Amino acid sequence: MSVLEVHHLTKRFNGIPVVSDVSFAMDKGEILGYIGTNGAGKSTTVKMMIGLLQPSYGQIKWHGRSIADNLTSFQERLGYIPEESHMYSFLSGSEYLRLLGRLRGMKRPVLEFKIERFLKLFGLWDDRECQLSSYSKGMRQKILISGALMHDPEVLIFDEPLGGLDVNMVLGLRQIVQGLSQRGKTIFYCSHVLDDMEKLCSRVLILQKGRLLVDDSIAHLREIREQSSLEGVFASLTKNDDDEQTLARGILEAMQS
Amino acid sequence: MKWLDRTHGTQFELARHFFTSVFENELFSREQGRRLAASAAGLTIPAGILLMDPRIVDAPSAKLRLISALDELALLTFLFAVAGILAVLAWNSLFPNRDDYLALASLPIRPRQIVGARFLSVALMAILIALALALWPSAISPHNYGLQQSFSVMVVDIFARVLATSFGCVFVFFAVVSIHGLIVNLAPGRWGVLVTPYVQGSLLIIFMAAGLYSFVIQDWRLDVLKQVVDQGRWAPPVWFSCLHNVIIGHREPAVIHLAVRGLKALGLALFLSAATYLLALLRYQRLLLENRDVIVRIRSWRWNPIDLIIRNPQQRAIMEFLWKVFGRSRIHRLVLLAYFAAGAGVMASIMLVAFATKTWPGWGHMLPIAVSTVPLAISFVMLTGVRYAFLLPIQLKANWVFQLTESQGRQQWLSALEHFITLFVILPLHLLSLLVAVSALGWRVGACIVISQVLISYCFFELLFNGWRQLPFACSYVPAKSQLATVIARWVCALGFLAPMLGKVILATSQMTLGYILSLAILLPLWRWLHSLRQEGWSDTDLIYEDNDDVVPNLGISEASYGMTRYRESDLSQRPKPGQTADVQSALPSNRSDSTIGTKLGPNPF
Repeated sequence: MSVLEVHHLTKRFNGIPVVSDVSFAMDKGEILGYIGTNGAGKSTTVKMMIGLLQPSYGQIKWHGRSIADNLTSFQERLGYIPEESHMYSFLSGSEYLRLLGRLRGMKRPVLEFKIERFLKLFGLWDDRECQLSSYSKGMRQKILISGALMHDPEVLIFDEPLGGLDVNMVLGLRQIVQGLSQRGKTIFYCSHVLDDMEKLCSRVLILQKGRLLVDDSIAHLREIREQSSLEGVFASLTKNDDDEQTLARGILEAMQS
Repeated sequence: MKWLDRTHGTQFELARHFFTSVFENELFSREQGRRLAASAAGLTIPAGILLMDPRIVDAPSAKLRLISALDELALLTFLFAVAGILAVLAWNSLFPNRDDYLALASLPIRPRQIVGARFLSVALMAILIALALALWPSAISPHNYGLQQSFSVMVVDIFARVLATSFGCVFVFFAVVSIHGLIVNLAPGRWGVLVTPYVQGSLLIIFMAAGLYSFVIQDWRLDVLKQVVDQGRWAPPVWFSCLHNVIIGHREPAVIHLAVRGLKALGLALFLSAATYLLALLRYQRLLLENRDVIVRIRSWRWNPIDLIIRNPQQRAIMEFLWKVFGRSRIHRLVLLAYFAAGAGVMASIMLVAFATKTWPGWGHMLPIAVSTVPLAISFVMLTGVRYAFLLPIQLKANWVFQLTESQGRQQWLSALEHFITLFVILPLHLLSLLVAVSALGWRVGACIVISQVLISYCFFELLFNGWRQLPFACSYVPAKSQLATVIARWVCALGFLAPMLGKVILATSQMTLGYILSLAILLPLWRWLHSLRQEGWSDTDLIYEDNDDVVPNLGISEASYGMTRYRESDLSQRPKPGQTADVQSALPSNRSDSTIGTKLGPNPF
């Protein structure tokens, strides 16, 4: 049985469909890539998967049971790194992690140990008492990653996790994601960095205008689309060269007008 | 390990988090909030002394009771005003907001737990504030000791006072919560954003005026008290004063009726708050997460009257930026409204004081003084408010735009600021004042008064912006730098002495031709001198983008900037030769200039 199944997921805002009839399933230890153009509906899908938004139609199942029926149990086993760092910026890094840990019911000694370990490993120990509002984007991202992993979740949802991270940290995060997969964690990975996606994911979903365009393995996609990279596959599916050239020409003309 | 340090249930942890951050907002950090609270607590002692009534000394028992009742009314009015102001300050934390849902997304927390924890934290805070406000004054109330009551009666009296006062404070707090709840549910999205600052401003005006008026109540004639039950039946302090009386054994039907009214009002405020929380819970998805109604209204015409006055395109762009910040930034609009509320509240109180005093000369005598004083006082307050709003950054991370373009248009920025103040503060205020002054005092005197007021407002503006060293909304800001007592003392001087004194002088001189010419002969050169001083100051100083390195974390902008590169280069050129000793620290710019951007560097090479 799949760990996570999404059936005919649909979301409408004021009657306008943002995500339409998206279905897929994820197995234990799988890293599933989720890509799409801006406004394709990726973040809305993620918000429904974490239980923040209710689907207009369709359902999400965790171990065969709808998450709507046992949302709290699902969220207890879920780790989420959001695209935008919505945090209480008046808290310090350690206070924020302490809040998350307490809200997840972690016992204080375990929590303090984990906070110290994560902050030291991410190089944030010296800044642990500084307010989050003073953190750089990369530092905030490290805090969000710590918060998502601290309780050893079973399912992980990464929504653009590389924002603001330096090259070393990007490489490190790639290792972390692979390590998590090897430990049987199910990972849903949204990103625009297709190179990274290609190295991490065995299978990708491509979304366009709220509809699922492709659900296939990267190797198979490369083969059938006769492309050498995922970037090429994505470009061949979602745009054509004329659009690109028209856009470039238009911008250059506008700049000099 | 202490009990509080342990991890408890989700609901407890959530309520703890919300409770400790009730007063956190964009303007105050926790530390600054504590400092402000400590200053405010320090001020309660002199404020308490002001409330103490000298008439109790050697007063007969019957009279003492009347004085005691008046003082209780005054105290209740003051404490309710404080509770109301605190509720308005905690406005952002009264209801769960979008940030709560997003920051806590994916955690095993149900929306009802978030709403429940918010309500719990607000209720706890309301009770805590009510008790903190009620306990001390009720316990030390001198009348408990002056009335020669037995110890047991005195204890019951203190208990009754504490109960009635805290019920009243909770009522006021939850009345504000209910108003917020109605806005959340009835005017969601853009409408709520538009309406909220005006509601907050109006509430502040009401509470400020009530708080200041409380100092007048104890000066009422004692026979006025007999009419209070009839004429003051709409006033919450009267309801809760009656509740106190009922608890200690008074059984007059009118008193019981008003006490019941107070309890009903408390019940209604609690019920309305709970209902709006429940409604917000049922509709939170639609109200907060799916509401995309944030589209800015686009003008269908392109003509703008400002274009006729200001020709320079840079200045026009800057004016439009300033205007849009005030139009769209909730916090900037709120600051302006709060200042306006404070000014209007103080002036309304002065009028009320005049109305309440025994020597009330009637409107015929008061109107000229009001016409000459009120616009002046409000202009002082509004100019200070605009200056304060300019200090608050709109988006520090967007500062690079200003730092890149400042050297190309710094003079335009500062001129635009001057034009903005003229067009949107001084001109509208005094045009309005002209209408009132002319209709009240006739063309000649009215016009004379307004001309003098305009000149004084400009002088005040020149003084206020003399040391101005930053672009509006573009510098980091450290709040609560001045002590609360200093700020209050300044305002008491400005609004209690300076504005009325200048108002009287203006009124007197405007009725005498020679005197008026003489006053203009003083005001005009004074304004020109102050104007030239400010202009010189503006052209000489370096602009700052960070208020204080020690307090506000450095964003690293200044180090990477052209100005700092120049500094470093000059440092390198002055580096001591081998064998020569030099104090490296002294060669570095000072703390403040370290965080400034050079403004006399010519065009930016980038």
